[in-house]
Amino acid sequence: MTKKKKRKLTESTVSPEEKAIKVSEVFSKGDTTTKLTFFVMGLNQIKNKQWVKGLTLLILEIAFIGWLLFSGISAFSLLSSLGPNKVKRTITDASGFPQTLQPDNSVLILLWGLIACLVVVLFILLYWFNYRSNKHLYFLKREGKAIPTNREELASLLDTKLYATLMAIPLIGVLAFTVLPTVYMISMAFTNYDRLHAVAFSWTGFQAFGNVLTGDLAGTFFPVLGWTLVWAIVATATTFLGGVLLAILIESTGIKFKGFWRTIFVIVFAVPQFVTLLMMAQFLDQQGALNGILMNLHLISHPINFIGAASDPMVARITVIFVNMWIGIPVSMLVSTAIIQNLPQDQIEAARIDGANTFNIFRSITFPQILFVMTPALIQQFIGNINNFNVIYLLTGGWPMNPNYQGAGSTDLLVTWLYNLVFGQTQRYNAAAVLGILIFIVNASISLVAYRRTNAFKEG
Amino acid sequence: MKSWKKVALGGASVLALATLAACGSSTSSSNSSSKDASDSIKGTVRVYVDTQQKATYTDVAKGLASKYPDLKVQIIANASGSANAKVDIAKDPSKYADVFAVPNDQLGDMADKGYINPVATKFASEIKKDNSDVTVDGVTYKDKIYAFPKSTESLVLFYNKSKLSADDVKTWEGMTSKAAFAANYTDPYYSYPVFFTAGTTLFGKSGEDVKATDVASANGVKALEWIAAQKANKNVMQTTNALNQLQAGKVAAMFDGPWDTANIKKILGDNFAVAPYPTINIDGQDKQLQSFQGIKGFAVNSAAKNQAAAQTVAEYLSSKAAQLKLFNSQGDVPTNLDAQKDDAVKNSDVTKAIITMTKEGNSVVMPKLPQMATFWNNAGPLMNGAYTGSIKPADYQAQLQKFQDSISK
Repeated sequence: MTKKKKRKLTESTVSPEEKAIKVSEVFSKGDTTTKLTFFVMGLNQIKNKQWVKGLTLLILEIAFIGWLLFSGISAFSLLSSLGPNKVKRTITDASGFPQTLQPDNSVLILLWGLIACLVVVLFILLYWFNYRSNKHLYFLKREGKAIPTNREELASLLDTKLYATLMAIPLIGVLAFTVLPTVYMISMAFTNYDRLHAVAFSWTGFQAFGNVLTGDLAGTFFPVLGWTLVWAIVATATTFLGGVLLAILIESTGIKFKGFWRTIFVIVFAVPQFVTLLMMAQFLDQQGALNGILMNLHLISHPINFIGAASDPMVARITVIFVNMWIGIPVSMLVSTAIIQNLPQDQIEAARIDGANTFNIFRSITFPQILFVMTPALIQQFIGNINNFNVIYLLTGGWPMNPNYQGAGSTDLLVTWLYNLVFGQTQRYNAAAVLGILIFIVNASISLVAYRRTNAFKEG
Repeated sequence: MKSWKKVALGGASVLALATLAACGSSTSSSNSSSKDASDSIKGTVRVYVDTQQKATYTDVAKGLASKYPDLKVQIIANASGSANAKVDIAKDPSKYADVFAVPNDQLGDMADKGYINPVATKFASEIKKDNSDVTVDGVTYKDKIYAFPKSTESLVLFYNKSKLSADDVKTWEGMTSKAAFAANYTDPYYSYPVFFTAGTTLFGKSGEDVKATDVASANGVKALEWIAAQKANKNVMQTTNALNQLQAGKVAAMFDGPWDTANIKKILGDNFAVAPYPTINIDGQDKQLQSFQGIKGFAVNSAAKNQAAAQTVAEYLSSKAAQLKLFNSQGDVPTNLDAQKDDAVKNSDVTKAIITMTKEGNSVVMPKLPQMATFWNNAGPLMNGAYTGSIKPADYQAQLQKFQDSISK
């Protein structure tokens, strides 16, 4: 409801009569200047002494046409081929030294081409603005109303149209730092930008998607996707359940020094995650402290390879989940402690009088209430775990090695594999872009479906 | 009426011109420079060397300053190391150093992408004259020399004299029956040469023939079987940190390169000893275990403004005198044949062992093909799989075929 009201407020400056005016009416019934303004932006505004608006529009149009003629058109034509010259040549210069003539740099051509597209889109918006303003002037004249002066127009930017002024900077920021890079990355998925085509690459359509889904990377993609989902589910579930149980344990009556116990776990949480993970990697190493202790106690005769290159995949995966529990449970504990402390006690009292034991209370009252509050946070954690780069990269580096995978190990998640594809030996940028898109699709669909099914969403 | 039109048109055209000037400059780019000939050895040449070699090369470069007064040479410590040159230069070739140290196996990839220039003809003939054929082959790619060789390296056997005798380390079986050995079957650099010993080639004899790898053969299977058999050998320890194991006294021998000599000497003290690789018994025969041979050299960035100056600097920094200085300060083994005859070089145990290892039949020059990128990714898991037993002997042939296919395209 509130949303609709707001929209009406901003649109209320345009009257219904003005809205009803068609393009054809403005063009056929307007005076010469109004007609000309369809081609020369800003003319009508200048004629009506709205200098700033009119001049800005006119200058921007001339600049745009000039840019289009001298730079824009070539940027577009290069974009279609990503540079016609794909061959590197070596020549010898006059003094007998070799010179290398590089092919066209597709990376830059792609970037300039996309910027050109963005400029055109912005110009179309500007043209729309010009038309609206022109129509407004036509409408005011037809109705015989006063035309706002230059000063009034400018003042309105700080008053009734303040929203437009305030939005300008964020809008430019979003375009330059979010939309452009995202479109740029996405477009790489449709090229053959990789180690063999590092300078001059071309459009290849969905070929890179084919490589990942059915080609040479399929044998890695699907098993890694499977492990990523299993990992995300197990990691989220274990830390959540562990955290809730720990919180209930600490909160339950009869436990002394509650603050002390809580502090201990908060300390675990307070140590930066990467320090913990690197330390754990040392601790669990084949020649690390844990194996040393176990061997000195004569519990094992050979060191266990938990997370090394040659360890057993199952052992490594279980180890990763346990280490993640150690660093994840304190977080869940803190959140659920807050919820438990705020649970209505009368309901629990009533249940106890009715003869419910502690387990029954937990199952039917405490846990559902915690779950209700925490579901959105859980979904967020789940998505976070799908992309949990730190735990895998810092703890195992993707190890143990897997001879059936291309550029990934048995504990690699999609996101760490993506990192390997870009920064590893093979530099498959296009495949990495495809992976990025696929990860986004997985994340977006899971979170959309999950959020809509939560009680918090339905009741909120 | 007329005045505002003039103002509008004037203002607009000024803005349009400015916009055009700004946009126009971004589209054109070409690599033409240094038109005049002989006296073009001037300007600034930036050189990347590994951090620990910076002092030596700064010292060497002083000689250049007196020779070419207009030339300024900046020796810069490359923090990410010459081993990463291939990846680093790709980020922005024009920002990378004009001359940089690089291992020879990256030359092919960089040459294919056009990041480096071949060596000028006059320097190329000098390189051929001063170095052994193996060295020249090592820096040649598609019939052109792409780097000025400065040092050669090969892995050798370091061992503890108090636990192993010189006779013990002649054969793998003799050595591992007496004391523990630190092996690394996860890193192809250390362990892949078993395949060469078994009689396979990587990218053919020349190392440049993409389709000529023949590991998916009976010989390749034998190599994997040998690696798998080491799991049962109690004295072979799989480790990714052999130096630690040596320090802890858990192993008595390891394969390593000259770059770790100083560390190993510190660890073993008087018990320090070095030898060429032992023989291994493969398929019932004793055969010399081989090693990868690497050649480090200076390559010239094709984006360098002054090619003549850059190549002259690279040539000077890889000269005999410079190689000897590097040997004295770092222990890097010279490639220059004259420098190899120097007394200090000849009398060093490590250098002797390395020079023995770099002879034909003891080592294989690291191939330079861009396909090596896939090789590094896939060879480790293959050997590690055989060693740990996660690849069953029945699957050896199929896995080798898969590996061969992946690196042959």
